[in-house]
Formats: sequence, C-alpha cells, structure tokens
Amino acid sequence: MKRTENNQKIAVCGKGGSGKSSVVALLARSLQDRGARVLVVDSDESNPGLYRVLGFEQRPAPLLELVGGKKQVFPTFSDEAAPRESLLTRKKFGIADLPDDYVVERDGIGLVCIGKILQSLEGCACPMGVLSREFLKRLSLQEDEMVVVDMEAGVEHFGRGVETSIDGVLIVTEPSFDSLELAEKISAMAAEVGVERVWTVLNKIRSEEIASRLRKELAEKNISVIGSIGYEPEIFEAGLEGRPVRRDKLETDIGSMVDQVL
Amino acid sequence: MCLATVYIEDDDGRREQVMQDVAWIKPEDGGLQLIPLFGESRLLQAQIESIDLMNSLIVLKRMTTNSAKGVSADHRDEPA
Repeated sequence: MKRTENNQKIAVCGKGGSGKSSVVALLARSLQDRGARVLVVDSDESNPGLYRVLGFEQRPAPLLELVGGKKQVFPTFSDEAAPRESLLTRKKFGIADLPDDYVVERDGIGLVCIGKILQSLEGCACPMGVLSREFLKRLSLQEDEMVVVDMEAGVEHFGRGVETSIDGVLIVTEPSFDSLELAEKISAMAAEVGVERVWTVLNKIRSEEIASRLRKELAEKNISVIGSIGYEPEIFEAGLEGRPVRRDKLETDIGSMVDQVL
Repeated sequence: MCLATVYIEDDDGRREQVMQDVAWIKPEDGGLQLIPLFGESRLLQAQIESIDLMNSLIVLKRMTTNSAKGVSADHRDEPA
C-alpha cells in the first residue's frame, strides 16, 4: 500500500540520553489517540526498558530468534529437519502476521523487539542492524497503521541502511552542542538515504530563551522544529521508575508535533 | 557491517553480486554454500578469491569444470 500521512514508518533518532524513548512513547500514545494502530519497533540493542516506558509488563521475544538467534543462524539453516519458513523469509508481511510470542499489544499499541546484546564478548550488533532494515522493509502497512521506531543512539544505524524504508525521521534534540551537531548529521544522512521528511523536537527545555537559541541554530542547519518539550519533572520521575509518563501531569502539549507528523 | 556481500568475479575482473547479508560460508560438494541471514542459501561451484573484512566484501571465482571435481559447468549453481 502506498504511504499516506496516516500510514508511515517514523524513526526516532538522536544522541544518547536525549529522550528518544520518552518521545517514542508520547508519540505512539498520541498517534493512537487519533485513531492509528501503532506498532513500536525497539531497534535499540542496548537499552532494555522501552517495554516499561510503554506500560507493558514484559518484553516480547526478540525477532532475532526467528532466524535462530545470533549464535544459531547456521545450525538452524543447515538442519534439514528445521523449518526454513518463517515470517522473515517472506518478502512482505503485515502487522497482523506477527507471531504472538514476538509482539505484545495493549490499547492499540503493539511492541516488537529486534534483539539485545546480552553478554560481554558476544560480538557486534550487525545481525540486529540487518534484521531492523529487513523487518522495516518487508513490513507492509494498511491505512491508519503507523510504525514508530526507537533507534539506537547516534548514527551507526544509517551506516547499516536501517532507514532505507523509513518515511520520516524525528530527531530528538536536547540543549547541547553534541546534540545540535548530531541533529545536523542525522538530517544529512537521512537525506542521503532518501528520507523525505525530517523533523526535530526539542527536549529538556528549561526556558523560552534556550528554545529560541536552539530554534535559531537548527534553522541555520535547515532542520524543521515541530515541537518543544519542557524540562518536565514527570518525565524524569517516570524514567527513574521505569513506567509510562502520566500525560495529565505534563505541562507540555505535544499535539502540534503530532499534527505536523500526520 | 559484518555480514558480507558476496560477488562473483569473471576472468576480466567484472563483478556480479550474488548474495547480500551472508552470515555463513561453508565448503560443500566441492563448492561453497552461502547462507544469508534471511532467505534461501545457495551452493556455488566457486572458490574464494578475496575476503575484505573492512568492507564486508567477499569475491569468489567460478571453478572451471576440471577444478570443480567433475561438476558440469551447466549445473554448477544449485539451491542448497
């Protein structure tokens, strides 16, 4: 199905600690409020807690298990008796096709997890990068289905081509030099892989003066600012406790941000 | 990217991509079995020309009929 504004895959990117997971959860809830069926893709192989930020009691089984797990790819494929067909050998599938063990869902929001690095010396996360790329490429959306991807921090995922089938990149920018530099880098890399829609949302903003400085610098970098989230004690408390943000306790209205994404 | 892209190179140095995201390569039946992270594995009657770990790029050369232990040139590539 051709993409419309109500049918997009959005990657949330930014510096480590900038608030990507919080923005993912707020965006997912707001999209669901507006009638979308939302699938959140946990593409961060390090941070473990997104499922709690979204209000789930447990994480779904990692999709990497569908290919036998990182250490089992070869034994799985070389075993004549092992079934070779799985979701990930199909060229195209929909949200409804996701196997039960690999998705948790509640109140119109689903969550899948690509995979996590679990042990020291287990090697790099390349298979997870490939899996993220192929999962997003093969996932076909119906009308009013939205995907929100919680990317790993930084830009390595661009090197892996994860964004090749992403419709929009939302950069979370906090008030720091590194975050601004990274926003510019992400914007350029998104354009290089053909992503047409790139926005940024400011986060941890303590004053209008800080917001104005960031908006000016981002405007000079030709990056569109579509929202600003204050330095919200509720977001920090929720992050500390590993629980969803109580949106009724927020001062910030993120409605305009969602308006511009849709 | 650690997973490799595999090419076949002809005698004139021209390269043709044969598989992406290759996770395993195993010698088998006189050739090489290529196993990707997703999708079908392939058995190629070929040998390794070079492995570029910096760029995750593996170049193969097709084996001639003689070097392929009697495998016919017309039936060199088969699904594993």
